This record gives sequence, structure tokens and C-alpha cells, in this order.
Amino acid sequence: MRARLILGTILMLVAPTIAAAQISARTDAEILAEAEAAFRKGAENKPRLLVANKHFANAADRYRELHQRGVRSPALYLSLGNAAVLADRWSEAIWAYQMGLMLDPNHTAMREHLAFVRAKVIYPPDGRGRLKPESWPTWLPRPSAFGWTLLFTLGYVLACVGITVAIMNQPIRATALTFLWVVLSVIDLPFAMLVHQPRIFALTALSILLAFASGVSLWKEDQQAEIDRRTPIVVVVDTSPLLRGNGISYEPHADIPVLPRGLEARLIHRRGAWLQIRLSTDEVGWVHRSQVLVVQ
Amino acid sequence: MRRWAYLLGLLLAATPAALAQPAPLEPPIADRPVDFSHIIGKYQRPEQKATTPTEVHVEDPITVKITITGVGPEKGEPSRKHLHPLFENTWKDDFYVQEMRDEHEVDRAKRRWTFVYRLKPKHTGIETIVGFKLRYYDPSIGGEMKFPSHFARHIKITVKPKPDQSETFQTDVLAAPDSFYAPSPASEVLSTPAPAIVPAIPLVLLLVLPPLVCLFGALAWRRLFPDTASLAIKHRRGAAQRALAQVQAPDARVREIVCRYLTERFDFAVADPTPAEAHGFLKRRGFTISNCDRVRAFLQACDAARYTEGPATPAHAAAPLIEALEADPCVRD
Repeated sequence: MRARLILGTILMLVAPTIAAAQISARTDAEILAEAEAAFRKGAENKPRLLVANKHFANAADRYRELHQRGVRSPALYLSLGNAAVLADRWSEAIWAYQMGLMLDPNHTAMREHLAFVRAKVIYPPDGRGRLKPESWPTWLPRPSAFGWTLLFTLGYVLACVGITVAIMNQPIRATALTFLWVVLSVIDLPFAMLVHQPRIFALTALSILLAFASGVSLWKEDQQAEIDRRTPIVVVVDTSPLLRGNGISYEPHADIPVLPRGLEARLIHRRGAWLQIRLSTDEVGWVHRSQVLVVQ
Repeated sequence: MRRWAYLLGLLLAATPAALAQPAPLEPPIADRPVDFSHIIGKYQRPEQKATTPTEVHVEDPITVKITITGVGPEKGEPSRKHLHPLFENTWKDDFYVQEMRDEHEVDRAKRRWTFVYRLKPKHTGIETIVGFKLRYYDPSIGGEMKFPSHFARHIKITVKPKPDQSETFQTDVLAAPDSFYAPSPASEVLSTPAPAIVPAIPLVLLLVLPPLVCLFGALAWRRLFPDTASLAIKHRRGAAQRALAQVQAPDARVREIVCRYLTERFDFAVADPTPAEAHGFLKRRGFTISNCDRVRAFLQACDAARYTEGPATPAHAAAPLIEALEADPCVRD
């Protein structure tokens, strides 16, 4: 009797674990296959809006599951964003596209889709919280940090070679190298190059310009990455109040009491389940953690 | 006793006068119920009936007519202004209430007021449309019953769940462009890209290596492919070595060797100089006076041996002379 009791207790304790293990035993590939099947069904039922929505929502949930399991790829976030848009969960789509662009800033389709979804956000009439327009031209490829490094390397190496060639063609003698002479030579070098070797001068000048521009861009990219790390973007999932403090007893913000669905802001502080956010127009307030998705 | 009789007499005299006064038209504020309809007079039980089928799906409309009949002063007739909130309060929990103002009817000849509403059930748990409670003011009734109320009959209805039309519902409007309907390839979804971060050490190497490579490359280039100037310098540097080697020969013509040395090493343009010319040239080049004198003396000795019966050509003095010239402070390269 006692043995049965012990066995029963053990089974009761172990059974949920076994069930959970069976659920989580699915591989990433299986979950992806489910997501793709649901996405396909949604696309097949494109004219039947409600049915399609249901399937796309299912696909978005499966893609989200992959994200929760640690899969990180631009393609995953593009698919998740597309499924979320088609399931009318476009605030989640904004989050997904932002996550994807963190991994691949030069993903053209993702940028276009993000712009499309952002157009759905209904900002307050006075424009508070509205994002500033992109300064980077859409037609121009946006290199990643690695791309900027490669460009910088190319410019730097070419500039070094150009300067070396110019120096080699100058009448410099090792025994005549005094400090003043070197300084004068360096000052004189560009003029001498411009007069005697205009092609090398042009190539070297372009290389220096390329190295400088890509170096500055790399530095700015690094600064932006630091800003994104310290104050990540948050996306408001559903229309929610912006409060003055971290609790529902606080009054709503005087200027923008309600945040529209899909609004993007920066997270500046966490306190328990409450997040302090700053809008693009510098209003600061608190929202509950459940109301937003953090791009991190 | 007399006082009591007096009071009783006054009361008996005042009562008929009080009863004879007309009842006040304004309903009293005191004891007025919250659901008072502002109707004054004598009214019958309101009639409430559905004019459309009562077996409906959720959110399907049912049209309800409420007819109020009765007599009363014109000021206290039923009006939609006061009745509409009451109707709405009666049904708003279970129905979406829509007033059909155009269909309201007033028949004063028959003292009948008809109000029409369209009700849409919110859920399947509704079994009746609750009867409207008409509470009015009857001036002829005194006391607590001066606000009598009549309930209309409930209307039995059946509410069924809304049919699922999602399978048949179609729309031509597609909000998203076609690019949204293309899923990413499976191989790309599950492949996590390597973080494109340049570590610090390679970055430092990247900054240091190109100039170093260029520097050593330039030096190697110059060594492998010397230019005309470098070749000339090299040739000039070798002049002393060649001259020293030549003067060691037993029958060396030392004067020619030294003059060639001066030409190759110091660009002395005169092929067969006099001692004075050589002295003057070296002096202009900045050689020490002792070296200049030494060259002049050497050439004079050579000339003496060449043109007179004097001593032999001083071959032994040629090598120290070249070495002395090479050691002179003004000699560079």
C-alpha cells in the first residue's frame, strides 16, 4: 500500500515534466515546418480574410516560438513580420522588422516592409511621438559595421600605397633626413604630387576621403549600437496609457495620455514590471511591461 | 375640554375646503422615483410587442413597438426625451439598442403613443426582452401610491449563435502588397549569421600593418630596382675601392688612377689636371688644406717622375692619399 502511494506520488510529480519534455522535444526544423505550412495556408486563403488571418496568426506564433528558442536570423524576422502584418498584428511586425534590421541593417525588403507598417500607426494630431524621417537615402545600400570596416581598410591601404609611391618618386635621400627636412617634405608632398603626379594625387586623395568617410561612419555606427544597447527601442503592442509614474495610481501624461498602437519609443529605465520610455519628441512616461515589445 | 372642542371645530371647518382644492399638476419632488417617466395622468399598462421574428442569431435585429395609452394633461404626455433613457436602461445590458425615431407615432385622438426600437442581442443567453416599466404620476392618487407603475409583458425570444461565415466571406481588398506573401527560405531562417564585429587586435593590426608593409616594400623595391641616381651613387662609392685595387698592381700608372678616382668620386671634369687645378678643385669642394696640399704634392711628384730624371713614381703614396681623401669630413655619400 505504502509502495503504491510512493509510486503514485512520483508519477504525479514526474508526469508534467515528461509532458513538457515531449512538447519541447520538437526541433526547430519541425516548428519551422509548421510555421511555413500555416503561412502557406494563409496565402492560399488570401481572398478569405478571416480564414487567412487565422492561419497567419498561427504562423506568426510559430515563428515567435523559434525566436524564443534562440533562433536569430534576418530571414526569421522577415517571415515573422510578414505573418504578423497579414494577421493584423502589425505592432508585433514593427518589432520583428526592427529585430531583423539589427542583424542586417541593409535588408532592403525589411526596410520597405517596416515603412509600410509604420504608415499604419495613428499618431496624435499634434505629431507627438512621430518618428523623424530617415536621413539615409533608400536607394543607397547601407553597409553594416563589417562593411564599413572593409571600406575603411580599402581606403586606408590605397592611401598608404599612394603616399608611398609619391614619396618614392620624390628626391629623398636617407642621409639627408633631418626633422625639418621631413616636415617640409610632408608639407610639400601634396603640391609636388599635384604638379608632377596628378593621377597618383587624385587616387590618393580619393582613398583618404574614402578612409575618412568610412571611418566616421564606422564610429557613428558604433555610437548607434551603443545607444541601441543602452536605450533599446520599444514598440507599443496595443493602445495603452502613458503614465507619469510606475503605477496605475499615477496620472496620465499631460501631453500624450494614450500611446497609439505601433508607436516606437526608447526604453530608458526599468522598475519592476514598469518601463520608463522616451518618445521621439522627448516626452517621458511609464508603461507597463506587458504593453510593449522590446527590441533587444 | 373647551379648548379641545374648539380645535375640533376648526378642523372640521377646514377639511372640506382643503379637499375642494384642485390636485397639483407638477409631480412632487419628494418621493419621486428614479425611473419616473415624467408622464402625468392615468395610463394603462404599456403594450410591448415584436414586429419581426423573435428567433434570431446574435446581433440580428428585432424590432420592438411599445405603445402607451392613457389620459392626462398635455404637459405630462409621454415624450421620447424622457422615455428614451428609460428604454435604453431597460435593455442595454443584453442588447444593442437603436431608436427608430422616424417610426415613432403619436395619435392624440386615441391618446396613444407608439415608440419603435431595434434591438440586437449581444449573446445567446437571452431568453426574453424584458417588459418596459412605466412609472407615471397620478395626481388623483395620494400618499405613497401617487407614482404607480405598470410593467409591459416580456417578449420571449430565441437567440442562436452567429453562423460562422468565415469560410464563405470573401474580400477583394488586399491590404498588403504581394511581397508580404513570400516566406523566407527555410535554410536562411535557421542559419544564424555570425556577428560582424571586428575585434580590437585585428583593427590595431589593420592600422599598423599597411604603413609598415609600404615602408619595407618601398625599401625592397629600391634595393631590387635602383634608379639612375642610386646607381650613380653606388658607382661613386665604389670608385675608392677600385682605385685602391688598381694601385696595388706592380706596373700601375698611379697618376691616371688617382685622376680617374677624382673624376669618378668627386665629378672632377678635367681628365689630365695640373697639380694646381686639382688643388683648386679640392679646395672649392671643401677639403682640408692638408689634403689639398697632399694631392698637389703627389701630382707634382708624379709629374717630376714623368717629365724629368727625378725619383720614381710614388706608387706607395697613392693608397694612403685615397684613404685620406675618403676620410675627409666633407666627403658624403
